[in-house]
Order: sequence, then structure tokens, then C-alpha cells
Amino acid sequence: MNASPGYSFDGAQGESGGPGLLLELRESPRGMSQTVGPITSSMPKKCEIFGRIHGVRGRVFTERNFMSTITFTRNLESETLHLPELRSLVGHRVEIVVRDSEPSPEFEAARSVLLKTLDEIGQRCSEPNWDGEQAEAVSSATHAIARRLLELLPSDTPLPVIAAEPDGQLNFEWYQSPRRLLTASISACGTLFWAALINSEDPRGSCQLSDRFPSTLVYWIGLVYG
Amino acid sequence: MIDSTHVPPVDDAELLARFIVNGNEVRADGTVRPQLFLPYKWVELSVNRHRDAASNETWSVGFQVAEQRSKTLLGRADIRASSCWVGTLSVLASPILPHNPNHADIIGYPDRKDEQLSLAAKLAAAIESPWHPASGSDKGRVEA
Repeated sequence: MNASPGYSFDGAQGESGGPGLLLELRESPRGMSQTVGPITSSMPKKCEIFGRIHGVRGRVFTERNFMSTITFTRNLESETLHLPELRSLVGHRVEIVVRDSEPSPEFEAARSVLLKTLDEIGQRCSEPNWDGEQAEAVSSATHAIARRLLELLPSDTPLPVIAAEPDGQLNFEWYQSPRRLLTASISACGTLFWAALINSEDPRGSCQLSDRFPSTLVYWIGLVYG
Repeated sequence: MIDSTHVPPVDDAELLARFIVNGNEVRADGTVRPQLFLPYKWVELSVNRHRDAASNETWSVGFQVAEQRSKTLLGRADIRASSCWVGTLSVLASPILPHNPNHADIIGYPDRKDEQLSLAAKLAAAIESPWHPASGSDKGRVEA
């Protein structure tokens, strides 16, 4: 196990903890530990973090997930972190999520490569019958929406496998195993039809792409790789 | 092959073959993607019953299917009929006579794409083992 350098959140104001660290708090029934430290892209997935919150020094064994996020819970006994927004939660048990919002150069490079692949697929399937079986063309609108979706994908989220479908839609797949996957098809009108398989759970639905990557998909991608 | 004069209904224990002719329907780890079981234009999906068929007879049908579509047969995925009885889906014997009495259809796909994806993902997860490459196309087990 590696240990990150010690870090204190004392005196933090809003977004805090140095470059790329964002602090979030929300209520949770679970309890665990109370210390946290800086997150870096080089940090191993499982690691020991030293630090202190509100003067309490300690360490926590934590697990970093795919979005460089660590989560822990504690009783919020005072205006911890000196964030007035938390006053209504004082006395509650809260879950604290620290997410690394620093863009990863490796991720951005991989995203660029995938965007090129998407462009190639869009070009190759831009005419009807691209599969020799009367497939519908992938329209420029569908291609543009898929491109936008990929551009909006939160940094450090696993990249999908992309493929054209005979109905002219473009499919994004996040796959861990046959029973841990999310598949989403993008239509020309911007509707995303998605279905996930997480062991025995089989959620599915549709949503419209707006100016943010759909939070529903982020949630299920998290469970696919969780 | 099944006696074309007496084609029995599909039994739950029967193994069904779904032929693979598109590289983007398989993964490098030997599994198949939901797209292999996604219907298009029709609400049924063709499969071929292994019942009373020698291995070379089943492969022969696969090569014919690929040839009709001007494609190369990459392989086949096998799925138990009982695994196809999921949600609104069922399996119906649908012989193509006189040449292929073993043909069957998975029927009952809903219209909504998300529902289709969900069912297709379940079928893809239920194949019996890694998909079988066709002879001469063992390099097909690469994600395309």
C-alpha cells in the first residue's frame, strides 16, 4: 500500500484541497472513517491516505474508483470544513465524496483517439446498406450527437466501445462482463435508448441528450465498474 | 437434421445456434455483444436448432446464411432454448423447407429500442460457452 502525502482540510472554503480536488457532502446511513488526503492520477486504486479534518489527524484505508473519487462517512459535529452551506447538516451522519476534477492527459488522449474512431465509423456508415443487409445510414445528426456525448463524458470515466447499428443508430457500450454492462444507442433526434445488466438488475430507459452527460448513465457506468 | 415431415416444437433443453457474420457482434474475450441478438426490421430473430443435426450440418447452414448475405461466416454462438424464454420472448420452430427443417425464430421482441437492448443483453449473457469460430475464420475472435 502506498501512502499519499499528509494533507489538512482545515480552513477550507468551498472547492478546496489544492488543484483538482472537489469536496462534496451528502447524508448517508453508513459510517466509516474521517480522514482524507489529496488524490492523484498516479494513486493506486486501493491506498492508505493520511490527513486530517477539523484538526483531527488520522488515516483511512480507502478505495479509489474509476473517476478518481474517494468516499467516506462521518458524523458532522460542527461546521466542519468551515462551509456555511453545511449548517443544516450539522448533527447528521454524512457521506463525504472527494472527486479529482483535474483532467487527465492520458484520458484526454484516449478520448481523442476514440473521437477519430467515431468519425471513421460515421463516414463508413454514412450511406444506406453499409452492412450489405439494407442497414439505414448513420446520419450526420446521429454522428454529431454521438460526438457530443463522447465530448461530454466526464473525465476518467471508462471509454465505451462504439459501433454502428443496422437501424442507423450509434451504440456505446461500457462492458465489464456479460452481466455487468451498459449499452446505449443514440438516435438522430438526440434520444438515448439505454439498458444495463448488473447481475440480476436490468434497468433500461431513454433520455434526451442536453448540455450535460446524462447523470443516469454516469450512475450505471459506476455500477458496471464498481 | 430434423425430419422435415415431423418438425417438433422447440424443447426447453434444446441448443440453438446464432450465426455470427459481423465482427462488431463479438468481443475479444469470447463473449458476444447484445447486437448479435438485436432484431432489425423484423420482430423475430433467426436461430438454428442443433436437434438431430450433425455438427457439419449446422455449420453448413451457417455458411449458406453467410453466403446469402454476401458475408463471411465468423462463427456461431449457442444458447439454450430455455434461456430465450425471457420477458416477452419465446422460441418457435420455423422450418425453411425443404432445405432447413432446423430453422427457428426467437419471437416477441417489443418495439421500444431500450426494451430490445435489455432483452438482447440477457440473451448475449446466456450463451453456453465462448462463441465458436468457423473453420478458417479463427482470427475472427478480435473485436471489430
